[in-house]
Amino acid sequence: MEKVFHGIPVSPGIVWGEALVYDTEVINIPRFKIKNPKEELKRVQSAIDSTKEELLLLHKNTLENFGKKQADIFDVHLMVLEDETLLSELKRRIYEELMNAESILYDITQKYIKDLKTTENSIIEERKADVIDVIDRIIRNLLKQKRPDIENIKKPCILLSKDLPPSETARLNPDKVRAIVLERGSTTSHVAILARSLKIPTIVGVNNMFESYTEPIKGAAVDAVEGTLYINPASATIKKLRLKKRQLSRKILQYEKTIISHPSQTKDGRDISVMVNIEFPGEVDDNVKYLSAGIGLYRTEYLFLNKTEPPTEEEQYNEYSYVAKAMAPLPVVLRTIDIGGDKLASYASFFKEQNPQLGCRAVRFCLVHKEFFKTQLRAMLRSTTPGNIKIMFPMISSVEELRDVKKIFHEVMDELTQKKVPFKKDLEIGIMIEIPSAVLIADELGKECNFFSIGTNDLIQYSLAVDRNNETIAHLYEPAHPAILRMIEMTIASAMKLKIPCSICGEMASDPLFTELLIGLGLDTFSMSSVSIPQIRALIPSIDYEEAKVFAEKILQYPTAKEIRSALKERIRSKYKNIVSIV
Amino acid sequence: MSTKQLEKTLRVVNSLGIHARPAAMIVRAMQKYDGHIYLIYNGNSRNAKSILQILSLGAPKDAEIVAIADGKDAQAALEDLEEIFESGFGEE
Repeated sequence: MEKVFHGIPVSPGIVWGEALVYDTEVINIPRFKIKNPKEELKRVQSAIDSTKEELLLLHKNTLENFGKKQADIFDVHLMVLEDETLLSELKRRIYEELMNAESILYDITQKYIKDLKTTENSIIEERKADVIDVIDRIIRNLLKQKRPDIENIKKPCILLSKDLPPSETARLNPDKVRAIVLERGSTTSHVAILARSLKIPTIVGVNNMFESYTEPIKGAAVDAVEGTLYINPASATIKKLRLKKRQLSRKILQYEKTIISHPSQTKDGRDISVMVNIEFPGEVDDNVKYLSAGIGLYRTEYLFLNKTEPPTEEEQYNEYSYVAKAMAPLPVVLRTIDIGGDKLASYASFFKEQNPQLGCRAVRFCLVHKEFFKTQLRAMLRSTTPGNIKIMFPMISSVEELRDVKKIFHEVMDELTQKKVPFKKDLEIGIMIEIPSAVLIADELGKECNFFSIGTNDLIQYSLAVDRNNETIAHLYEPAHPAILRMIEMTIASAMKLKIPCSICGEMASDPLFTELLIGLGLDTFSMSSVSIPQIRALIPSIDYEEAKVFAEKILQYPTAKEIRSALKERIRSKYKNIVSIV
Repeated sequence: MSTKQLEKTLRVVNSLGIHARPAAMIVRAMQKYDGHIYLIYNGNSRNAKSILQILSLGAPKDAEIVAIADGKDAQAALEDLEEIFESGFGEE
């Protein structure tokens, strides 16, 4: 029977089809007495043999597609599989306890996991995921259950899962995964960012979808415009969605017509640049080249994920210069790594942090790991010719920090000059404004760099003291909070006074609710994921800059987010109804 | 046990400690030897031929580990182990 669930739509689209429940752990391990331990050991051996075959295949495929470094992990998996103490303990206990192999294997693993947890060494602790992974494969083979492999999904499907860590998301095949629905996550979680850049319709935060649905899940329909999931959808639902999908594509056609016939400026002629945020070089396609005014934010983190060692200078150089050349003469803003926080790569941090969001991430991490930072800067600088590259530093909180970063930057430049390696000497460097302290001293920071980009996701999180991934308080994460709007206003005002460009690259940039307001505050550059560009770009020609200024002034008078939201919605209803239909 | 037991103190020099890759390296090397080989750290003694056991040592940089080996090739096993530790498992 059809069942409807609601969540947060984070990447738009309407899709229906076969569902795939993706879970990396078997949840219910059967427990029963056995009579014949010899037979049980035979079963164990055959499960181990099948697991070995799986792992060898994975090793081979990974080696071919990603290289030795990535394939190494399966060597470790194979070793866990053949671990002599694990096997001898399993055999002994099967004879002693006369219980089924799955249950004993599970108990033994729990013990090892507990040991690994007490090591206080996060890189080793992370390896418990690998141990769990291998044991789960054996258990599945004992149960003769197949585990879906995210990389080797053969048939098109709608992926339903509790959660997807960034490393798993980065491995999924966008040709086969037609939509993603998760129990956890939020608008700004990395799954969401990634899904948008891969253009996979996605809904997150669908609470208890597995607990409250006990029938076998066969099909699913996803309306990731509204955030509705239909499990085993009725044919009437499909019919309704088909109609909606048709209307949606008509809307996009309408956007494209507007974009072709109108330049990217307001009704009264103020130029507004709409740029794109990317994660992977592969995202640079004709659409990105012709629809956007350049790349406003190239997040380089994904290059560093899923690896046991950081990428080499050459590997980085190849990616950056590919993007630079593909986009030339349009600008490309490379952001130095913003690792730490919630997207740690396994080699990046040795000690576990109490509070990673307030911890050693982004430039702080880079200032501690200087050689690591210098490698990235060298790769970035080398990619500046040919092309139009700018470099941006995230998480700057003080002038001292900016100076420390620039000192290393100049060291790298000097080294390259000495070695006669060509690079653009007068390239522009900018900073992300995403910490409240940076907003307050933007007038000082702006004297020592060439541009600002406001990262609203973090700015909101830090200003309102809301962890965007904590579901119980996620509703407090509010871009329309008057404090946030004032901070954006302050930052833009400082930039205007110093005559340096200021853009906005957080999710707020892609929300049409805020477009006129931001233009009214003086913003002239927006950067967003490519799926959001058509709508915002089509909206701009119907906005009048002078009117927007007056409107922005009025909005800033309201004391609450609620009043601000309703005024913004009312504005859309009265002026932009034809273009924006979200309200 | 009739064969005598040998002992050697080793130090972890790479910055990440004994994580998965080094543990795999140790196991691969030690499986070649006949005797029993144990690593002792923090009062825990673990089988050097088991990746799960080595990982559960949780040995960070600068940890001092006592290795014990017996059997005919005990001496060779410990020398091999020493070399692996001194190389920092091929890491920084």
